[in-house]
Amino acid sequence: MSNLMIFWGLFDLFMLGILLYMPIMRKEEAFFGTKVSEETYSTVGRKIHTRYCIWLILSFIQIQVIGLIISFYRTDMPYARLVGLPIFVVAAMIFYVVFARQVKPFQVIEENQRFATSLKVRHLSDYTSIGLEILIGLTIIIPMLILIYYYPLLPDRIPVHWDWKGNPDRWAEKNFFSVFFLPVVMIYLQGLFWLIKYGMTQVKMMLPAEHTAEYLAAKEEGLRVTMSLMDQIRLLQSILFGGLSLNILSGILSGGFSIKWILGLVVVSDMFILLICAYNIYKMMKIEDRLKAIAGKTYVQRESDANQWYAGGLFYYNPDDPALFVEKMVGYGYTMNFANKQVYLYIGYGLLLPVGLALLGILGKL
Amino acid sequence: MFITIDEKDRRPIYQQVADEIKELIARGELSEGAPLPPVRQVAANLGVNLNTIATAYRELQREGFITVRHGAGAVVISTKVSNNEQDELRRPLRSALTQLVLAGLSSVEILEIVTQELRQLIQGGK
Repeated sequence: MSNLMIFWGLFDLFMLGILLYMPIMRKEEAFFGTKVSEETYSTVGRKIHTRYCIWLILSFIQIQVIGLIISFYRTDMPYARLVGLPIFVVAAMIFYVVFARQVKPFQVIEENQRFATSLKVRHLSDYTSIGLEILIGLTIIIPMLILIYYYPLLPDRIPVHWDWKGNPDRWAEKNFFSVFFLPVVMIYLQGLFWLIKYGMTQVKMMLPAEHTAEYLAAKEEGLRVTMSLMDQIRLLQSILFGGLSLNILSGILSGGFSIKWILGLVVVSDMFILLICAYNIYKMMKIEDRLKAIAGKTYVQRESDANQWYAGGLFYYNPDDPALFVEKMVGYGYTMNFANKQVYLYIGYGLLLPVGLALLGILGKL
Repeated sequence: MFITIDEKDRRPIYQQVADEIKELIARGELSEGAPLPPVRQVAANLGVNLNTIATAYRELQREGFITVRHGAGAVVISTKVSNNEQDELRRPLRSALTQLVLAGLSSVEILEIVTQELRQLIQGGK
């Protein structure tokens, strides 16, 4: 329990760090999502960012203290603390948008930019490793086969949820959903990742007409890093879900695995995801440094697109842009053009599971 | 392998795109059977209208360089101009030479430019 508290504390700190760093990730090229001059960035910009940091740190401390107080005085509510993170992220977003509005008046727009495009066709297969896919497939299929094998031996009432000490606190009737719930969710999530990976093969890559070859090489590498990050997360997720789905057997397999083992699995795999994310962010930073060394600047922004970014460069809505996936304005990686109709396909798929579960819940099937 | 467009160029954008692709074919960077990216992707990257790129692809298809199959995208099918009529081929050269003569360049200078450009075009490919 106390280990978990430390883990969540570290996780919260990691989030705080990212949110503090977010507006200055691309320096003056996208300061709070706005391109400003170098002078503005180092004078007024620095002051604005300092104020943003103070607000963020103060609210972080406040939310952490409230969380600690609750966890000391209400030991029956161990989950209360976890609510702090989403509250903090929402608060940080509000601060971010407020400060982004202060930066907007300093925007500079570069004229006469010329752009290039790569003519290489990227296929999903270029970003797929067969070995990894087999591994992921096994982490889904093997637990399913084990569950099918033990299905007749399971009692009519099976545990589906456990408290912090590892004692089941929620039970369900034995049926297809309660036993195979996690493997089904895993297959669904893999599908979502595949959909995103497919979309990302056609990502819009902004290339300046100067130093095009170097830019293209660096941006292709960036795409490769992002794709492999998604693969790594996919693998860790399927290992985690595979392990967790076997949890319901813990009661009938004597001397089998205990809940401690499963909790350890959760923490270790989450830690791994964090480490991998941090490592990939580091790799992306290296790529940006390389671009800066080659071309003297890290980011090119099309002047006609500059005002189609909303909420301080977090949200892109441009009906004139046929692209679906675009490079992020703030931070590394890719985001979507929400004016593109194909976004509905992704949102629809994303909502499939939550809506489906809610409907099943209403119908009393769960 | 990339193409560039220039707003200051007097040629229309679709023409620039078609010409750049033809240059890549001439240099051997795009060989027979090579696929071209979807119209949507090229248009997004260059920040131009979908129709502009579609027109460029249609132009290339009309000249017999590529085929645009529904669903499968565009593929290079020929690296040679289908029209082999000498007169037809000479016409663009004649108009380019006229421009150079009108610009007041001597025959020697014009020949040098032509040799230079030709060498660049051929040596450009690896």
